[in-house]
Amino acid sequence: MRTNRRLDPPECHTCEKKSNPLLCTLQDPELKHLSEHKTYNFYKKGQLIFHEGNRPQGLYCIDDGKVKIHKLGEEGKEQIVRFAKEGHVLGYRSLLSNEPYNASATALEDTKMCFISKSAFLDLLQENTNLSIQAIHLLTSDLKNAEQKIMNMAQKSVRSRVAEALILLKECYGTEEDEMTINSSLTRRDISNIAGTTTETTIRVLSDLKSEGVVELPGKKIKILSIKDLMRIANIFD
Amino acid sequence: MKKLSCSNCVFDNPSLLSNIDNSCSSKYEGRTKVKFLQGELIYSQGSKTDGIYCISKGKVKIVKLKKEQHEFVLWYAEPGEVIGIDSVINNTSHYTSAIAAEDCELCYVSNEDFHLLISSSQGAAMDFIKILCSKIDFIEGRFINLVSRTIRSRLAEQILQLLIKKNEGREMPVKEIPFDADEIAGIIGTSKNYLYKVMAKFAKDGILKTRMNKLKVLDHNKLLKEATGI
Repeated sequence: MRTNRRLDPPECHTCEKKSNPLLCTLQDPELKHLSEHKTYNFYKKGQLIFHEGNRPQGLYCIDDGKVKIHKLGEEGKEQIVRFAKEGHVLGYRSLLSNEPYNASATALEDTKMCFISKSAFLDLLQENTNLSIQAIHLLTSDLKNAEQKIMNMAQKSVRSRVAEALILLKECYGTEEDEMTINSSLTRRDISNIAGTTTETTIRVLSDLKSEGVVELPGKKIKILSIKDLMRIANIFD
Repeated sequence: MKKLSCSNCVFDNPSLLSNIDNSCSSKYEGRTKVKFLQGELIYSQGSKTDGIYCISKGKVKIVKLKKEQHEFVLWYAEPGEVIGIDSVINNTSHYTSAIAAEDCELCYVSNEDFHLLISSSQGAAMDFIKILCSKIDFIEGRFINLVSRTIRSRLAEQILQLLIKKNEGREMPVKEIPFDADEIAGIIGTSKNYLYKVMAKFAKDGILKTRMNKLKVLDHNKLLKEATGI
């Protein structure tokens, strides 16, 4: 399944993308140990990384690229739960709780990832109590995010949810040189899957926003003209 | 306030203190037990506490309050579960409020004790991680459920809500409500055209009847069934 292109894996202790609170608090000897026990893989755009319901075999750490975490709804409709980018860790929750994967992960662009086997990670967890405290930190903030999301879905209108999805995309992908155009070519369908609505409705809301002068839509791209207005529509206040 | 021993406190599910050995548990026997009456606020969002609560008896509801809106219940915490974690772990103010859903007894574990516990006992830390994981799974599952509901069931729920609002404080409940297609389409997230289509299907199934800008509910039970999907 995985395409191995004989890539040189980056060493954990010299990794410049240290931003995840889980592995990056480890000391040098432990990181060296991890480097020896990990593999490095390449995933093509659109390739599945792991599937909902399967048993986890290890931990994924993104070196380069972007990944979407998604779940299947009741009627087979896809819902994007969140995005992950360089330095983020995937699949830790199932590993920690020893449960099947709760969601699937798919590469959104060509992605390179380190893979740490289940036993190597769990051994580390046994030896290092600091790591389990870090895991608790990470999980607590995940819980807060999940709570926030369900609140939004239950109480916000579709219009503000779409506006929020745009802000999320801008934060995750960044902007092009003009500092307005979102640096991604996600489809309208993807946006609707984040906002939890249909593609048709998303297109309608986007064209409403366009006629109000909040966004511009050159081709597949989205250009945010007034982030302030968009924030107001998204109704973000806490 | 009376003292209690963790080793006597047994729950079916993994609880925070169920996995520590006896030598360790004696340290925590000095913990204090607090009682709350039904409806009493345990902590409120925006405030800070210097410890967590482990529920020993009764149910606690975790809610989020928003301006001018009803409280939104995120989950019900049962005996063995731990509440108020976010404030202690990340040293921030509480993101949610906790209200006693029935008369309950909680064990208060101070911040220091808690950190000592998870750093000294690997088993306790793992149990705690499992509690957190299952909570996140539960919330994400609910989220997907909420999102993947059809327009049909969302519309049914919206009509029921309008009906309840209309009948508030009336002695004789009415079955007819004013109906604004633009507004309803906006709330449930669809176009006016599609809304009319679904309304026509409802009318065909004998659930409701529309005339001019009024909507009359004919079969309340069927509408309830559409909304809940049961």
